[in-house]
Amino acid sequence: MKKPIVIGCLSTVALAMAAGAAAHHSYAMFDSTKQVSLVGKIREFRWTNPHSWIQIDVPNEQGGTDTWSVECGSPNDMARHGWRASTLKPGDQATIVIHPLRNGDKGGRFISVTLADGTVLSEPALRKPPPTKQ
Amino acid sequence: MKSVRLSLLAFATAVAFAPASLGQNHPEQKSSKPAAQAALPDWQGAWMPDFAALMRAKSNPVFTPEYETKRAAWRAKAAAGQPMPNPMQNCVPPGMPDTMELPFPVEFLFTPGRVTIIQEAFGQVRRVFMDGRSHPAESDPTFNGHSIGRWDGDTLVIDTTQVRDDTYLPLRGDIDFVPGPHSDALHIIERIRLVAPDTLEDHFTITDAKALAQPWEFSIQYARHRDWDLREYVCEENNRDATDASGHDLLKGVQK
Repeated sequence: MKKPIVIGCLSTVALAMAAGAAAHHSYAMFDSTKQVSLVGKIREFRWTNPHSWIQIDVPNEQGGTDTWSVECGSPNDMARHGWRASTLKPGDQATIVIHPLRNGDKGGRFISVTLADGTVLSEPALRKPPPTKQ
Repeated sequence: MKSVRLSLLAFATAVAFAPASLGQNHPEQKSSKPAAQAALPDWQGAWMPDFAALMRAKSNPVFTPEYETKRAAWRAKAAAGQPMPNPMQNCVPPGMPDTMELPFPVEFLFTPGRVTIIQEAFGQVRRVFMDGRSHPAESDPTFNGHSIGRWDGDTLVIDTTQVRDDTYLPLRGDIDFVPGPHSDALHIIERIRLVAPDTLEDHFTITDAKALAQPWEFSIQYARHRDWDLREYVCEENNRDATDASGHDLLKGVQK
């Protein structure tokens, strides 16, 4: 898997989210009609306001890695849905699905992550249930 | 000096020996409070706005021609790809009435002569003076304005003026966050009451003799979460989404 894959179109959850309120900024910088799947290793998980951020290293076609920046929600909201600062750790193998930035930079808005053991964690702001083991 | 020190010591001792259960597992607060305080309704807990209901309501203000021109110009710029500068994106709070409809919980503290409303987002505090005072004659505008209140039965009535005129009115359902303008004449009346055991309603009536053609009324409902504590929210901690002066996203730290 050398390249992020576009795996879907027009997410209704994303549209619902875009139409709702946000405390910090609008969803306009992200392309909610596209989903990109990033397969790689967690470099960093910053449990911070106004947004938590995941840095994930993804192998590229040149044999190196690109570091993608993935914006999550506020830790305040995430904590109320079962997330913790320790939920993601550097070195964890992960597949992260995002709505990519419209400008083509290597970043996007978090939708979900699948960890090596099959655990799926979703975006709390999309009002999914708390994280569960599959 | 000695008596001051003794008072401080007495206070520190009282704090140190406060019941160990305080703040743990959200115990019911047994009343050693004055009778007037004890008679107040039970609004303990964290209150989260119901966004689905608020967005469905789609209640937007009707502007005067002058302010409608201003709003339409902002909308046209956004449609042309020029984003509206969004103060929150640079960690500046939105001001009233938006303070009460952010996607973060609020809590209410009742103390003699005062109601304090804490909004988790941006760590904001609204001080509602319940001691019979009036608004100051000399205007000194702030983000959340000057608030005076009274109880009408079990309904808290808050009257707010002196909101900074460079804050915006929240418009529902705009993906680009295009807001509405208001003037220094913004006047907000809130009537807050329990409409169910764990549902609080804040009914707003907003007038602005310069900006609004008619009173703007809407309600926000909040769901009670007794088991939540409000958390710290320091927006400057790691704000990678700040914008430049023209409102364009900087997206700090994102690899090209």
